[in-house]
Amino acid sequence: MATIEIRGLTKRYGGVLALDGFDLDIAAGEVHAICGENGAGKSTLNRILAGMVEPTSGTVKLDGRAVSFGSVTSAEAAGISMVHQESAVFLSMSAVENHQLMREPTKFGGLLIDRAEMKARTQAALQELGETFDLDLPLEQRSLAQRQMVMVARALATDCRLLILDEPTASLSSRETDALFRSVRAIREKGVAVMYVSHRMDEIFALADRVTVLRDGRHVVTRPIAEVIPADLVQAMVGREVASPEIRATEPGPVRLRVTGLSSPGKFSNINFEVRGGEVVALAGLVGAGRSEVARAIFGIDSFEYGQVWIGGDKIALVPEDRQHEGLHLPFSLRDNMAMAPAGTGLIPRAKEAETSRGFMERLAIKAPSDEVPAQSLSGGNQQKVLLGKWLATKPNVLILDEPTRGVDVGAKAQIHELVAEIAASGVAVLVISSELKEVLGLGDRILVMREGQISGELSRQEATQEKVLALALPSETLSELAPPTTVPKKSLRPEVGVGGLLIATLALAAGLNPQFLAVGNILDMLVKVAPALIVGCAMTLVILAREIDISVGSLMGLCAACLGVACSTDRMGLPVPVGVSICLGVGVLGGLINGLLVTFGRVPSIIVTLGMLTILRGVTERTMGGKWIEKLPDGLRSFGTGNWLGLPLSVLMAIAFALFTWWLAKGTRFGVQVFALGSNPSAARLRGVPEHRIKLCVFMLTGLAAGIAALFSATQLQVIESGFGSGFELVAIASVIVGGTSIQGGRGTVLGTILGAITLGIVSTVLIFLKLGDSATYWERAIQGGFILVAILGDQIWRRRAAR
Amino acid sequence: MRTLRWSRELTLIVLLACLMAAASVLEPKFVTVRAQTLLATHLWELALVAIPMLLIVITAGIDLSVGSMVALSAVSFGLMFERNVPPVVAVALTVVIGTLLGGLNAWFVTKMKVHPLLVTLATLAAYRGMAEGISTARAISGYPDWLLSALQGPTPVVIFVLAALGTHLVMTRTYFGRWVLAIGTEENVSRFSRIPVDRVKLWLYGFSGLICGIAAILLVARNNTAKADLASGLELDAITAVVLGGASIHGGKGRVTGLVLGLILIHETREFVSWHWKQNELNLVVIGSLLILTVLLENIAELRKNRKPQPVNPASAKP
Repeated sequence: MATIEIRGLTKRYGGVLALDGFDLDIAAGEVHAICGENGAGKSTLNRILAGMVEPTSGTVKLDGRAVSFGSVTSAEAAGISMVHQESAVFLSMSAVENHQLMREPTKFGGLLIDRAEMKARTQAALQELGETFDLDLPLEQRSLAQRQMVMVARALATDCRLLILDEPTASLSSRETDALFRSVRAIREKGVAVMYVSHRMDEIFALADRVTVLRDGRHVVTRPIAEVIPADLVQAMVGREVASPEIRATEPGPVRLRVTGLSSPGKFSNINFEVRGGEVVALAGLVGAGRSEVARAIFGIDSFEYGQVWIGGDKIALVPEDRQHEGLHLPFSLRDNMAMAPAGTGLIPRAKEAETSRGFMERLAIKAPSDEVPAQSLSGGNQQKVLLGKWLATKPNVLILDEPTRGVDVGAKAQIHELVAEIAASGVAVLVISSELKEVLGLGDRILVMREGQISGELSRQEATQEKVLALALPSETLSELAPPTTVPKKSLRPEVGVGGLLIATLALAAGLNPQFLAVGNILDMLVKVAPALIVGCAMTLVILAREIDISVGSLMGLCAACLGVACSTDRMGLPVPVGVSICLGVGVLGGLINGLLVTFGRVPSIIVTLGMLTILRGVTERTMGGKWIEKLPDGLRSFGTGNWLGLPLSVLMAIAFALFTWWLAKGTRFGVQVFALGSNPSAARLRGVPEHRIKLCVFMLTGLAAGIAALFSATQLQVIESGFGSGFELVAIASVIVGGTSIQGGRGTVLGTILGAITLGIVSTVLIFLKLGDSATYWERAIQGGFILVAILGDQIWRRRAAR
Repeated sequence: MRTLRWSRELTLIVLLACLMAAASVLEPKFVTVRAQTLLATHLWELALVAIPMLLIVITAGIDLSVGSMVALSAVSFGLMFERNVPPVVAVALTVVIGTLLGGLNAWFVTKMKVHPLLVTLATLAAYRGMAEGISTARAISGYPDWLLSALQGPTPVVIFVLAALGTHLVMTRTYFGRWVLAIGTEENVSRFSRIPVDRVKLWLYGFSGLICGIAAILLVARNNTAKADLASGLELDAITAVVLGGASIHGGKGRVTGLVLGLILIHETREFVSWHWKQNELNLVVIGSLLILTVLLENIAELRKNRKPQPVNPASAKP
C-alpha cells in the first residue's frame, strides 16, 4: 500500500509546463530518490507537495486521503514536511526558536510562551539525531551542518508521513553527510516515506530504495536501485550519453601564482603553494576548511594578516561559488554581466562589448535567445558559463574557480569540465576548489587538500585516490564536531550592555557636574519629558524588528493632538473628555492601519508609505486646526499631562505600562517570535506560514496607537496645542531604537535597549540645561543631540567590529 | 529594434498632460509663459539636490541630510559675508563646506559601514543643529545686489541643465554609471566584480554635499537671507521626486529622464494647487498622495501583468 499516490500532477507557469501529468507512488518506509537535470521539474514537484505552490491539475493522496494544497502549514498538518535548503533558517535566532517557530508551547492559558518547554523539546529532537550543542546561541554562530540538523529535526517533529529532502548535503562535509544518512535510515525504520532529491549519484546509490528520473517535467523511469547503474540514470536524465572528462597532458609553464605563509587568524594559517601556467590545481577539503577564504584573500576581496601573494602578470580572476550573491547581477543582461569585470574608466565601448559577449556565447555554448536577455532567465548551468565568460573576458593569467559545477546539471557539468581543461591548455594557471571528489580527481593535475584552515597534504594525479584525499581532508581526531575553526563561539554581549553603559556614564557625568541632577523631582521631570519618546520608541522597535520603518509617527502625533484638541477644547467642539480621548486614540490606530494596509496589501515599501503619510498628515493636521492654535483645554483633559497617581506622574506610569506591554509582546508571545522571524529572514518566515500581513498590520497599528497615547499625554502638558506639535519626533523615536542597539536591518534588538536609549537621549538634552552654558546653549541643543546619536552609532559600530574579531 | 514599452516616463507625461489640460480650463493664466517663468524660480534648489539623491537611491542608499546640509552651508555663507569675506571666496568656501559635510556622511557609510539611513538621519539633526548653533537662529541678510542678480535668472537653470545632462551621460555612457546601477542591484556581486564600491559611494555622498553647497548659495540669493530653518523638509521633496521619477528605493533602478519629469510634475502640481485653491496644507496632502499612489498604481499594474501568461523559468523562480 503506497503511502503517497501522485496522479497526473501538472503545473503550468505561463506557457511553460514545469510538471506534466506526473505520476508517482512512494511506500511507507521507503527512501525514494528523485533526480533530473536543473529545470526538469524537481523543485516544482517539491514545492507543490510542501504546499508552497498550487498545482494546475492533478491529485495527491496520503494514506488514501486526498491532500489539499493551501499552505505550508496545511501540508505539514497533513503530514508532509520538507527540509528546505540552507537559505530557510533564521540566522539571528537561536536553534530553539528556529526549531519551534509557529508551534511554540504556551503556559498560563496562552499568555506566555513556555521557553523552558521549547528548549526541552528541541533538545530531545536533536538528541534523537545524535546532535548536542548550545541551543541558545543564534544559528549564525553554528556550523552549516548543525543548522541543517535543526531543520531536519524540525521537519521530523511534526507527525510526519512524508519527508522531503531537497539537496540536503549541498553544504555538508562527508562526515556530516554520514550522520544525516544515519538519521534518514532511522526515519525510514519508523515507517516514514522519504523523498530524496539529489544530483549526487553516490548518495542516491548509498541511500535510496527506488529512484525516479524526471526530464522536462515528465516522469521518465522508476526503478529499484539494485537494477540500475549510474550511467543509466545519467542517460535517462539527459537523454543521451555523457562522456567523462578526458585526461590531458600538457607541459606546465612558468609559475603564475605563488602564495607564501598566507595567514588570517580564525580562518586559515600558513598557506604555501604555487600554480604554474597551463596547470590545473584542485583544492579539496570539507566545507568550512577555509578553501573559499583562501581564494578570497588571494583575489583581494578579504584582507589577510601575514604572508604574501605573488601573481605573475597581475591579472587574476575569481569565479565565486554563489552565483546569486557573488557571481552575477541576475537582472542584468548577459552582455552587461560579461562586461562587468573588465576594468575601465570613462566611456563604455559598447560595440566592443557586444562583440566580446557574442564571442563568448559561441565559445562557451551558452544557450540563450540573445545576449540581451537577463541572466536570471537562464538555467544554472548557462548562468555558470556566463560567469565564466565574465572573467575570461578579463584575459586572466590566474583563474580561481570556486565550486564551478555546484547546482549545475550533468550535461553542463561535462561542458564546464572541458572548458576548464581548454583554458588551462591556453597557458592560464587554474585553481579549482571543489567538494566533489570525482571532480577533484578528474580535473586536477595536482591536488592540494585543506583541513581546518591548513594545507594537510598534496597529491599528484597519479597517486591520488578518493581514499587518500578523504584521509587528508577528514579531521585527525574525531573530537570537535565544529568543522570550521572559525566558529569557536564567543559569548557575545547583549546589545543593551552598550547603551546601558552609556546611560550610566551620562548620569555620572551629570551628577558630577551638578548633584542636584539626581534629585527625585528632577528625575521625575526628566522621565515626563522622555515618556512620549519611550512609548513611541517601544512600538517602533517592533516595526524595525519586522524589517520595516515608520517615519510618519511625528505627523501622526500632531494629527492625534489636533483631533483631541478640536474635539475637547471649549473654544471648538467642546465634546466630553472620554469622547475626545477615543477620537485621539482612534485616529492613531487608523493612521497605523492605513500605513499597514499600504505596506502589506499595497506592497509599497514602508519608507515610501510613511514618507508620504508624513507629508499628508501634516497637511490634514493644519486643516483640522484651521490655522489657529488650540486653546482652552478642559481640566479633565489637562490632568492626563499633569496629573499624578501615588506620587508619580500619569505619563510616566503610562510609559512604564506601555513599555512592559511591548516587552511582553516581543519576548513572551508567539507574535513576538514571529516578528523576529519576519525581520530575520522574510522569505523563510513566509515559508513557515508566518502570517506576514497580519503581523505587519498589527505592528503598524500598534505604532499608531502609541502615537495616539504619546499625543494624549504630552499635548496636554501645555496650555495650547500648536500646529507644529510632534514634528521631528520620528527622529527621536528612531534614534532611541537605534541607540538601544536594534539593527535597522531587522531581526535583532530588544525593547529594553530602546527604553535605555530613550532615557539616555532624554538625559543628554536635560544635561545641557543643567550645565548652564548660558543662552547660546539652547541653540546648540539639537546639534549636540544629533552629534550624540552619531557618536553612539560610531561607538556601536566599533564595538561590533571588536566583537566580531 | 526596440519596441515601445510602458515606462514611468510615459505615466508621468500622461499625468502632466492631464494636469496642464485641467489647469488651462480652470486657470487659463496659469498656463502662460510669463506665469511659468515666474513660478520656475521656486524649483531649482530642489531640482539640483534631487540629482545626487537619484544616484544615491539607485545604489540602494539614501541621504536624509540634504535639507540640513543646505541650511548649514547657507548659514556659513551668511556668516562669512558678515565677516567681510570676499564674495567669490565665500562662494567657493561654501561649496567646499557642503562637500565636506557630504564627505562626513560618506565616511560613515563607506569606512564605518553604517547604514546610510542611520547616518543621514543623525546628520539631519546634527547639521541643522549646528546651523542653529553658529547662527544663534538669526536671519542673516544684506548681500550686494550684483551678487544676488548674478545668482538669479538664468544661472540656476544653466547649472541644473548642465548637472542633469552630465549625470544623464555619466549614467548611460560611462563605467561609473554602470557601477552605480550594479551596486544598487547587488552590492556583494559588485565587490566580487572588482567594482570600487566604496569609492563610488564616497563620490556620490560627497557630490550630494557639493550640490547642497551650490543649492544653498542659490537659495540665499533668492531669499536675500540665510537662516537655519532654510530648506527644511527638502529631503522629503527630493526623495519624492526621485521615487516619482521611477527609481526604486531598493536600488538598481532609476533614470535622469524620469527624475526630470517627476520634478516637473511635482512642481506644476504644487504651483497649480497653490494658485487655484490658495492653500498650502492641501499641497502637502497632494504631494504625499502622489508619491504613494504612483508606487501603488504601478504595483497593481504589475500584478495584473503577472497574471497574464508569460514565460517563467521554474528553475530560477526559487524562493
